[in-house]
Amino acid sequence: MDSWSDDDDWFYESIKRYDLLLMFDFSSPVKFIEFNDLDSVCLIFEEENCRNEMSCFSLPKKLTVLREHEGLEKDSDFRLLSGGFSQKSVIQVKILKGTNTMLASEKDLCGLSVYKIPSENSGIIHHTNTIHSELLSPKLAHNKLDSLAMVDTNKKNVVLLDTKEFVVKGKIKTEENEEESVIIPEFVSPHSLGLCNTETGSVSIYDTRSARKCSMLHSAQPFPKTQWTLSSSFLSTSHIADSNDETKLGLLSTSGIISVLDTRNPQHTLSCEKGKDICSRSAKRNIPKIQFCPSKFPLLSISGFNPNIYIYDFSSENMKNIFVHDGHHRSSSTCENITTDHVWYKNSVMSACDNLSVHCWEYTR
Amino acid sequence: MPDIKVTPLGAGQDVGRSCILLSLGGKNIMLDCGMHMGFNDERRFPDFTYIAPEGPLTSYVDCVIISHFHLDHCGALPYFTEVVGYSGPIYMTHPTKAIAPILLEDMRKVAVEKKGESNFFTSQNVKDCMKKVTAVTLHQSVMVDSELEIKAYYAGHVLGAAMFWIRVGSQSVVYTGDYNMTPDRHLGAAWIDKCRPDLLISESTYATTIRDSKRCRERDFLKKVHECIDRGGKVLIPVFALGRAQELCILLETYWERMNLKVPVYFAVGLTEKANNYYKMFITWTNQKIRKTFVQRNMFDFKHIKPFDKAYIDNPGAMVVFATPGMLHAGLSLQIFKKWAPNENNMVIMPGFCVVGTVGHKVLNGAKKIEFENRQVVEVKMSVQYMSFSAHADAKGIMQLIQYCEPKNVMLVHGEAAKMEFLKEKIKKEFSLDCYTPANGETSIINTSLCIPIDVSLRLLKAESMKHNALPPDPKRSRVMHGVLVMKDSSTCLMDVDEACREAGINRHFVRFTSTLRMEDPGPSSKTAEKLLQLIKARLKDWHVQLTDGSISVESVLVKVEGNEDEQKSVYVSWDNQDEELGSYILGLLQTMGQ
Repeated sequence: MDSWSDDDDWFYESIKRYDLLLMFDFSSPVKFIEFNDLDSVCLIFEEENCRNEMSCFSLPKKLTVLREHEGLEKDSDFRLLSGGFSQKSVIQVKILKGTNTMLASEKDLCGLSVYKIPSENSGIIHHTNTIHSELLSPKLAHNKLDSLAMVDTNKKNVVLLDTKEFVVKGKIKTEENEEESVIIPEFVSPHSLGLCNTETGSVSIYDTRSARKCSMLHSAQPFPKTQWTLSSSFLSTSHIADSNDETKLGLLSTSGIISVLDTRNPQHTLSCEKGKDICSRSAKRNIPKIQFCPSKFPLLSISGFNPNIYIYDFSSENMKNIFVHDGHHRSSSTCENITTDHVWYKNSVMSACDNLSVHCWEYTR
Repeated sequence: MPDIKVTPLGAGQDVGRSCILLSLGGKNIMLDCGMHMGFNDERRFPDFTYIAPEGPLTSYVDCVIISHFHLDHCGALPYFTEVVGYSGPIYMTHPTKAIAPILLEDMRKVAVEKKGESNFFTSQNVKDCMKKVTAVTLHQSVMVDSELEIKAYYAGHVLGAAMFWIRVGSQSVVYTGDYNMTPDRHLGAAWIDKCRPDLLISESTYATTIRDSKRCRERDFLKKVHECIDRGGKVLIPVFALGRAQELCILLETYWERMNLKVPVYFAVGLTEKANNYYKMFITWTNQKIRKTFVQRNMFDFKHIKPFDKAYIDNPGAMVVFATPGMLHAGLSLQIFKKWAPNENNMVIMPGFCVVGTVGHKVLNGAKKIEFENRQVVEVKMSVQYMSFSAHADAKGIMQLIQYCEPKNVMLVHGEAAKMEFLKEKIKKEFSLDCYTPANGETSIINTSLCIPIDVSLRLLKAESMKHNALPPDPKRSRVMHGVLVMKDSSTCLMDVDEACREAGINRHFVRFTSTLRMEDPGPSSKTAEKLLQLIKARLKDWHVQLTDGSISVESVLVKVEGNEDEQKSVYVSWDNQDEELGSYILGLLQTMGQ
């Protein structure tokens, strides 16, 4: 519940800081945010009794309309379209855009659960079938076209699933030194899959057509006792045609180090941030997240360290923090809350925190 | 089992008109009587033929309850009473009774004078309708008749809005109307006690919405106003006399003070007089902060907000003006609009719904030129902003309300069935409650368990307590009381037999049953009795079984064995009628043994 006097200063200052600010409170913390299409989003909530609630909402019109028409639109609410419950605790989800299909990696499940997001006649997101494989609770990556990569803790193989037919279409055998580490997959182009070694921050790029390793990239600053994660600028673009020009890879460590590399020139770090300002608590709770802004601006965002989302400009070698969204916890006192997920929507960001809040915001440039 | 029947009235998928028929305990109650503001024909009114195809409806409806003064909840009331002919009791809170006729009259004027409608209720209809209304106070129990009881609870949302608890016999229903679970700047949050109704009825619009926080909507409003005055523009805010105007004034005053802004802010004088009077009258309906402030000063005695004079319309420079009416269909707000609309630096902020045909509705639909009756054409170059400040609960709010009042069933009305499926599942999962989602015109029947409260005599309670405490503790053992249900006058009481006999003025009679068994058991009868004793003790471990003077006794059951050593034994089993079950059991046991 808002406290009128405590929040006033923050809201008054936000008038200058944000072009758009929408804040929502849910009854459970949101674990994952996945856009279904341009007008709707799926929120997966923290599990209760080993199952996660999954709900699909239409996006507030104030977020989706063109800025010049925003004034005539009073709707700033999420509207529930459909909902359901997962079979087991969800590890990761991927939504196949345009098909109303959600693929979920779940705890103790060898393979994937397939869920259908209804469009018209039913309000239930229901489990349709399970794609069985030898991979236990795999990590997922989707190339936005027809391939889903699955990697699990066994790390022997990467399995490539055809997302049109739901059949295995290929496997990639990872190299020996990768078998001992935890791997996170992410597509860096429609046919290039990056496998990030979470302990060293090195990324091996494999061509999914030939199943061969093409190159290797390293983060600029190896750091002991940290975990790494990655993202690519390819994932942020909405049009496949534009994606071909996107070659940036972002690496983020739990100590707050950010590196941006160019996949065409793996030896050279484009930009770096040493993360002095971020308090690292994510090792105990979350894997942090890094995302590239979908627009042409050289911007990226990170979350998962505290209640804030940080936006950086990586146009120069020394990355610059240009904005901090601190709306999830507006008091200046120390706070134990942590953001759970964030995604870009055009020039806005949707972020979730474990204090039940979800925000949609666009900072003033 | 007694049923509760609920039928939301309306046509098609509409969500803009609230009117629900409720039947419980043989009583029919109409919950709200709203008008759909989007239609210009009969579709704007609820379809009253659901109640009865023809004839006066008064005999079919025991009472009408109106939750608050918004037209989508009370707009059809004058039509229902003065045109359809309902003449039964109508209940609403005091502020609703005071304010509803103002909005009804405003709406009537727009419909008749602006839109030229002829088949509409008149001013006199509105007055006659309101004469039939009985105003109720919060938490006051009102007996509509000897069986039907209603009680109003604070709902927040707007001044005078209430949720209603309705009871007939042992069945009860809570109808929420529109409500808000979080307090705002001038109203408190909805509250209801743990009344555990058989059914909670709420609008499904809220259950499927997650609302953007009020602070963000206020921030958006302040941002738009500030950006406009920063470029030297003028901001017009058309408002209704009562409703959000006070909220927005408090908001602007606080902001102006904090940011040390000097741009003048005005309100139309008529707005303040009426509002002041109503807030003074109904100060107990506002929140604590307002009540505290009002004790010290006038509701509209602001430092930065001053009364407006028409002469200021042409003043140069930035300013902000609150003016009535809210839909720009007449009066000062329209006058100001005509002057300021051609300037692109200016802004109009519409904070509420606008009826089709009004200037407000036209500008909200993007009209760039408005033609008036005198052929005057006004170009609309000013920025048009549409904002909603209404205080509604949302999905989280309805879950909170369910937690507060603990209903046995939930009903969500006025929603699309498909979208309700998941919500039903969620309510079931979280609260283990059945959730009903009837379509408009569809009747839902809710089975309720019959629950008749009765008194229990202290003597009976004490006797049972003693018996229970004498046994070893066992939480699983059920506690059973045997007594006589005595109905005297209007009270019902369970009492022990002797008390009941005295109450009824009759002598108690005792009935004793006796059965005789034949048993082949050579030996003395005392030995047979001993065997029977062991058998009965083994089977009735929790009972006090004893052998006294050759007779086995358990409660009032006596077992006596007679016969010589070589003869067949006769076993006499007798018991009082109150130990029928025990006696029959022992008899059966002995019969089995005999065989």
